[in-house]
This record gives sequence, C-alpha cells and structure tokens, in this order.
Amino acid sequence: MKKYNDMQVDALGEVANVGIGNAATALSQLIGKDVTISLPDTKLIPLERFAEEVGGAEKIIRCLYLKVTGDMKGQALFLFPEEDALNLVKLVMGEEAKEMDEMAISSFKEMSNVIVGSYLTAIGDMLDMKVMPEPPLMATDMAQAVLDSIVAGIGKTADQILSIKTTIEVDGFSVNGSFILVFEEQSLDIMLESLEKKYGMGVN
Amino acid sequence: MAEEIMADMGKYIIGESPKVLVALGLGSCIGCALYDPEKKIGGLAHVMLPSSEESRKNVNPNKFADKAIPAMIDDMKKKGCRTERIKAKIVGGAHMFGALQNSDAMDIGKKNSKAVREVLDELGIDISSAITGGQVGRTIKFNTDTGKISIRTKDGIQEV
Repeated sequence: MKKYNDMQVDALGEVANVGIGNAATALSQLIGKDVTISLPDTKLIPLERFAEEVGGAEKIIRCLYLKVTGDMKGQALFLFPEEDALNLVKLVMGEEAKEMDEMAISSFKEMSNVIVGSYLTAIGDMLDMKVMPEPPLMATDMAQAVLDSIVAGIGKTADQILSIKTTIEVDGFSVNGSFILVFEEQSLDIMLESLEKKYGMGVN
Repeated sequence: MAEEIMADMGKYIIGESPKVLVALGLGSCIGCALYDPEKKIGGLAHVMLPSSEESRKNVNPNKFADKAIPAMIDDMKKKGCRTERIKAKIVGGAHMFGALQNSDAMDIGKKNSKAVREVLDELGIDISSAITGGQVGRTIKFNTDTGKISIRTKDGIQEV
C-alpha cells in the first residue's frame, strides 16, 4: 500500500466517522440501549501486526465477515469475544438466549447486517457512491487465523493494511467488540478523489 | 524451556537444536517446516500467498511460497544442511469462513497448500506430514531437537 499522508488518513477517518455515527444509531435502535462507539482509529498497520488490533494472534474471537461491494471494494469485520457476542444477542432476544445456537447466530448476523448496512449507506451518501455489504460469513477461532485470508487479500500488493477500527460498547452491559473496515487500495484512492471533488478537502 | 523464535506472517526463520520455531494462528496461511535431522537444523516459513507473480515489485517477497521456501533452503544450506536430507512438514491452508463462498480471497488456503506442495516438489523435497485444509486455526511449535511439530487448535493438541 502506498504511503498516505496524515491529511489523507484524517480525511478517511472523517468519512468513517460519519459512517459510524449512523451505525451507532441503528444498533441503539435495534437493541433499545445506549451504545458507545469510539471515534474511528484509522491507521496503517504492517500485515503481521494486524491481529494485535483485536487482542493478539491466539485470542479466540467470533468474527463476522461482510464483503463490501459496489463502487468501493473492501471488507467489514465484526469481532467479539464469545461471551460478549452472546451478551449482545441477549439484548435482542432476551435472557433465554443461553448459547450461540442457530437462532442466536442468525440474530447476531442480522445485527451485523444492519450496522454495516447503515454505515455504508452513510458513507455512500457522503461520497455519492453505491456501497453495500454481502451477507455475512462467520468464523470463531484464533484471531490470526480468522484474519489470515483478509490480510492475504491486501497482502498481494501491499505490506501494510489501512485499518479503520471502532470499538463498540453497550452501556451497562458486558459487550465490547471491534468493528474494522478495510478497503482495497484502489477504493481508498476513489474515496480520496471523491472527497477532493465534492468537498475540496485538498487531500491529494 | 528451550528458546522459542517466532515466524511472523510473511517471514521465515532458521534455528538449530534445541530452539523451538513457532507460528501462531495459522488460518489460510501455511507453516512450511523443513528439517535436516543430521544437523538438527530447522526452518519455518509462514507463507501467506501462493505466488509472487501476481504481485508487484517492492513488497516483502517472503510472504510468497515461491520466494520464501527456496530462500529458506539456501540459508539452510549455508549452515551445512543438505537438500537430500531435508524433509518437509506442512500445516495450515484452512478455509476459515466455511465452504459457502468461493471468492478469490476465501479459497486462498487451498491455493497456498497447492503452491507449497509444488514448490517443494520442484526442489525435490519430500513431505513427511501434511495437516492442511479444514476450518480451523492452528498454532505450531517445531522442535528442532526432535523434528516434531506440535499443533494446537482451539479444541486440542496433536503432534506430527
């Protein structure tokens, strides 16, 4: 991945900011609770360090993976420790959700659809583009293993990954996870160009 | 406890007995372990991608099977290892998100596995064990004293 300057990284972070605001509202409505979502942390990370962003190579996490398609291509990742994933599901399904069974998983996936969908709609509107998620795929395993194929996809042409990470917390409940967006280099360029054109952000 | 050295993604390492060579959380990546039992020297490559051909210049070459494995063997030879004594064990190449999707990014594990086998075959190195595929992450610890590899998954440990 080529070097993006600070201003460009900030501009991409700003786009992410708009997206995450929308997503937080959607999640909050879905579960009927207040949600705290951190400001997006946008940075370039060496490929081999990416797993550290979610607690280390061997940490067992439940990951939902949504391919982002349309005018921009990338990947959206939802990463929760197992217990937190279940706690999040309980907020939607009630306390009778005792384990991550089929119903719980389906509810978890639906949640990711709503969040990623509203996120992408917001940034699509901002940039005059169509971007949407594909149906989510799920894996529960060591963080490094789960992230491997995503990192490899970026790694074909780059040694670094531009990660846009947000942490999600539901106030008063033990729900702490991360939401990470990764775009292909070409899509990042398209985004920066569009920002320049529409808002004259002088990022190029 | 013997000293452990880490093969980060896209890197290969070489160590001699009693060092333990480690790769954490192999998913679609492959841990390609080479061992010369006479010298008790081992090499471990943490391969990310099959071929450098579809890449561009100026990226780290050692994430690709076709670059990392030959380079690792050259380095082992410099330490006195001989190709005819070297045996390989390969671990990883999983398909973490299930078999539903067949997009490029997702069947990378299978491609990696195939590429590593081809590279080893071209170099005339036999594979003595292969634990590849499936839908599971694997951490490996390669003992250069015995040539054994312990494979840990979230469900248990096995040794090859």
